[in-house]
Amino acid sequence: MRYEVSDFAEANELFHRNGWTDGLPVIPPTPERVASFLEAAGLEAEDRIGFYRERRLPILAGKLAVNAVMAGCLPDYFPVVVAIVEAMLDADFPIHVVNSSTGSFTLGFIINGPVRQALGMNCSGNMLGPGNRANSTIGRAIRLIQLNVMRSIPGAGGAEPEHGRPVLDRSMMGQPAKYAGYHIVENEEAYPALKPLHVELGFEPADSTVTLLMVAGYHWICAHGEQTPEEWVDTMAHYVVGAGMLHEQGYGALLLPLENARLFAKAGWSKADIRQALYERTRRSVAWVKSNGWKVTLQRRRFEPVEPGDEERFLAMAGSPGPQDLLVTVCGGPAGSWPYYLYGGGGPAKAITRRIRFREAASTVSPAIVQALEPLRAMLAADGYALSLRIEGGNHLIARIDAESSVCADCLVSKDIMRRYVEEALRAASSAAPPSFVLEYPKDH
Amino acid sequence: MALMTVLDPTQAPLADDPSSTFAVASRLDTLDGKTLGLWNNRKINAAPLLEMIAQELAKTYRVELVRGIYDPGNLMPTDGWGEVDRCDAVILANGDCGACSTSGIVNAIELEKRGIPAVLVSTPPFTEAVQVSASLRGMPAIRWALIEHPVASLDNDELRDRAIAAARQVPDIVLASR
Repeated sequence: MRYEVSDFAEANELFHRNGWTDGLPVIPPTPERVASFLEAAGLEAEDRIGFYRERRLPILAGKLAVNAVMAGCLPDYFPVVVAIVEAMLDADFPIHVVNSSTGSFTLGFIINGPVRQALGMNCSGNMLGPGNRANSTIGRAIRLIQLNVMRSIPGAGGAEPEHGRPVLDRSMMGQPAKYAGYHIVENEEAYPALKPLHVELGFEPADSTVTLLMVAGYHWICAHGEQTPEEWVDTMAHYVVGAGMLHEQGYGALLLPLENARLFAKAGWSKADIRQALYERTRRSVAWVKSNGWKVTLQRRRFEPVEPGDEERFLAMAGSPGPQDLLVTVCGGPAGSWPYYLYGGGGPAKAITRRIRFREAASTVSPAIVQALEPLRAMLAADGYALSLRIEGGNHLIARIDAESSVCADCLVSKDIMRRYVEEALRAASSAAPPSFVLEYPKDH
Repeated sequence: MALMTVLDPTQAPLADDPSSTFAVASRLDTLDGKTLGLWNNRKINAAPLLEMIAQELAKTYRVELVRGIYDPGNLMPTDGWGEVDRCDAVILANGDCGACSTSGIVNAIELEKRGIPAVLVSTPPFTEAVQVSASLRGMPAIRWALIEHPVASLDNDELRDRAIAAARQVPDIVLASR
């Protein structure tokens, strides 16, 4: 269905009237803009991304693109949107609960890999918003897709919304993070010893991935006084157990600030060590749960009498200390110790990770770029370093430098200087603006 | 004068195609001597409500009871229903929230498609969502039992009143017109 309107303002009035927005203005989805999004992902409008079983809705690439345009995305963001939708429709992801519950669930997605730099995503200050275009609009695109494609219509006051679309998102309170979700971008470079989430989950460092969570809420903690890993885990454990009022045996995500990551890296702790310590520190016997007011959403456990054996049976905040159940992500601005603990819905919920698939066509590096960087490659080779080039995300150049075993991996010039060499070489080779690129150093991998 | 073309952002459901709608299962002649399933989605008060409904029905019909559990938020896998195929009819509870009302009706529809009359117990705040969900899943004619909201926070006496109200509706829904 197509509509003719006179201008931007009239397009917005049409979309508001029909209940097609989140209450904020949208970019009009013209056929040309939508086509450029599909092109960027190498998809056709009729390509089926998945199926929403509970509402028997086929999920088609064209409709996703319309909503991504509306959200204010750029075409290059669209493959990320598609990957998130694929994760939402995984049989193990409770999308129908997120989309229809009286609770105030929303989505969180953790972005890893080269796509972060390629799209200029923000893993630093105000990562969760506001400010960064990719972070904000990718998240908003997902909400608009829930609202329009998946029909999770939130209502807009009153029993009968004027637009007449039936209200299927029955959330009684909603929450601000329903506009654009929790968009989490890992800072993989700050503390390489704390392996990035996607690598812990078995992906390659060069893979770009999205890990999708159902998020109920969060604890945001002041951890400026914690000076050892043990102190930090102890403080965090209190908040994690508090989240147990809602959540049990599901998963949670820690957003670990740089100052806190430094504490762990200095002490030689891996993310696995953090997870294990927190898991152990937050397990509780069923007897403790019953007598200390820890209950979960669907049960009255804390009102039940303690029975024989309850001391020996344990519950945990997460299903396991594994990376898929306690997701640890290094992120946030350069200063401050304000970690987040995001908690999911508990029960059978699963965090789902998907590799972001970019358009396949332009996967080889153009001869012009290879030629432009040949002098740099030869110079590095003379010193025992290997420069390799590849394309990620359709048109994002990755320049990777490896050190031969006999060569000092830390003895390269600083990354900033090397980045300038590469930029100058690319600029000299072409009158066009140099392509965006990511520089990978030996210590990165 | 039109200067700009914009596209519709919504997805048409498969249910818009009338050929993809389904009829409800054949209704029973009586509940007497039948096997009745009580399927509980672990919501608070779901299990006692189902037992009380069965007690009310037992005043009129001799029924054998089979009990099972289903997912409160999602469509059940076809092979996840346990002994449900032994049942002549099934009652599902509770449908007193956004996810459990709408996933409840689509699970009831799956049982109807399997040939088993199924009755979801739900509450009025979710009537529109349940009806729309039934239409999306291709069975707009399915009926369910409606009791007053709330359910989870009731004591046993209040819950008994809800059970009596639900039990009155069950024969109307599962039996051929009397």
